[in-house]
Amino acid sequence: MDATIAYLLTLAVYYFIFNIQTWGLNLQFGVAGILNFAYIIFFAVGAYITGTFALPHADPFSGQTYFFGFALPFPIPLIAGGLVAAALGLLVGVIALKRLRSDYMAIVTVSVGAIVYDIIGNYFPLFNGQDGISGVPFPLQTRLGLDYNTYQWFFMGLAGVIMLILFLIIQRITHSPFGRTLRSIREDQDVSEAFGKDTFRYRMIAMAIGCFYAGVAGGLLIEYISAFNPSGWTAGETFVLFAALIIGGRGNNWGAALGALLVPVIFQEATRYLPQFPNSDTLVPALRNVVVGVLLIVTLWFRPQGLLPERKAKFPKVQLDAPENKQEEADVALG
Amino acid sequence: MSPSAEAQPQPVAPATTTAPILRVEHVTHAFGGVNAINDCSFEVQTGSITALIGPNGAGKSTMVNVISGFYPLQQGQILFDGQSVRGLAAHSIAQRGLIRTFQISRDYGAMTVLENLMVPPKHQVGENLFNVFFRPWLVAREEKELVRKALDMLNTFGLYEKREDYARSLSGGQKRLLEMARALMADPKMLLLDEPMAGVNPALADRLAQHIMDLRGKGLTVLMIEHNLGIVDQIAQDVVVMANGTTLARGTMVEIRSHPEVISAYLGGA
Repeated sequence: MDATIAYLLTLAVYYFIFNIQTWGLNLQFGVAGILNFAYIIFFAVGAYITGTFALPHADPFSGQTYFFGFALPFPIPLIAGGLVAAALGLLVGVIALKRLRSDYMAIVTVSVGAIVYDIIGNYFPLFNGQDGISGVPFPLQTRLGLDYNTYQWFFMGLAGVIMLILFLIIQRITHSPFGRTLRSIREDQDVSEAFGKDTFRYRMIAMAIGCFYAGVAGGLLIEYISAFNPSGWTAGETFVLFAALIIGGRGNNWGAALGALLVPVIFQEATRYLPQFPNSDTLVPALRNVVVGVLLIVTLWFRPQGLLPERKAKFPKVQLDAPENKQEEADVALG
Repeated sequence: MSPSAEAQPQPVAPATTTAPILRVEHVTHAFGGVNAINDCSFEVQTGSITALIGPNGAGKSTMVNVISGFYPLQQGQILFDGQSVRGLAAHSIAQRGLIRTFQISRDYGAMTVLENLMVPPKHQVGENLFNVFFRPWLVAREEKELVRKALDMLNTFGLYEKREDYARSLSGGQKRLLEMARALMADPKMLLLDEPMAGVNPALADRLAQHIMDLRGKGLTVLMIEHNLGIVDQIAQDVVVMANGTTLARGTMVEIRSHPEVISAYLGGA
């Protein structure tokens, strides 16, 4: 296969994965107003669970140690990855969402992120520590008997279908009365509580669904690249996703998809093979982060709602029972 | 608590039933060592408009927060509709039909006026994700009913033309109207209005007063904090005066006006 095509295929799969991630974050942050700075943790947990559910039992001679090793067929590991991430999301939610306001909640998520990162990175029996896990089998490859190149196309299609299904689901949630209540909680939690909404429960559900999306995205990544270690999910990755969402347009799943294309795919991945500056091979990666930061500031300054802002809710057209007779009266009263 | 209707400038019918919908009994609420409310008791008769008045710092807003469950009940007892609110979360109290508003109007700014009104209805089918995915026809049907109800409500409150505007773009007076219209979408048994007319011009205050009286005609009970005693005189059957965290006096506005302790509390004495 042509190297350029192979590269574009890889970028496409990454884009699909980033989309799933930003949609989950959008439900939490864009729609429900939950500041979850540990979002990447749920992505990582999804990846590890998917990986270790798909890998066979840890072979003592392979040099890898990890839990599970169930050698389960696709798509069970992927779904398990999403579910475990969601369960972890609920656990964090119990701590962070029960009594804390958004700023304190954000601090809790940062701490949780650091704790989970350090445990996974240093406790080798869990997911092989800093070395990470590798050799995760490609889903359905042996069953389909495809060669490597054809399989790349197959995987892109598979990831695309999963992304599409998840898109339809998240769109339905966002624009349902459930999503409306989440938005109301984002706008003013006290007022929604005063209208009888169990705001904690709503936020927990948003947390779980968002983390499920993160987990599935992580699972897809490890099934695609077959290896995963802590360098792939540093705390900074969360901020790349936040930048994508803010630049693309929070509250709008199309905006999230645009942001995922602009920030992680074009700025982060597509610039990976730019020529290096002589004797300073870390300059380009550093500049990349600078560019994302500048882009974020420019967006917040000139278009704070993002490139594709949240749209006004649409409602079915209905005929009024009474004629519109009160308008004049109101205009008089309002001066 | 017998309202002397003939003495009021505008005749107001006495409360339709005698049973109180809300009983506040010996409530005390402390912030640290300071008692914001100190052994305060009063009742709100079903179907009445009751005004809660008193000088600044009397504990009125604290009382609203305790009744509505925003502050936990520390001491004393509060019965709404015969049941204690002790230990209930704010949303559970609201689900029983006690809906409050806030002193500063708090709209859902980034949502349209119509969407603001679509939030309060309780137990919406579409708030359950199972229904959203597996019984979408029920959700669609309910949405249509709610939109109709919301548009009628906006029409009543003169906000119909603004239905597609963001709530944050409304003027202060329009926000007050929105706040009341939105609270009514929750089908309350009792409304707890925290200064519904703060900062509005006299013409609009009269209009809001008219709305509140219309609500009473529909069987709602209203407890409102209000500083404009002219309005209180006009629409409230019962008045509860609070000062220094406790009930200073109860009665009709006419009775209250001649109460020496009330006069001294309002003039800054006591």
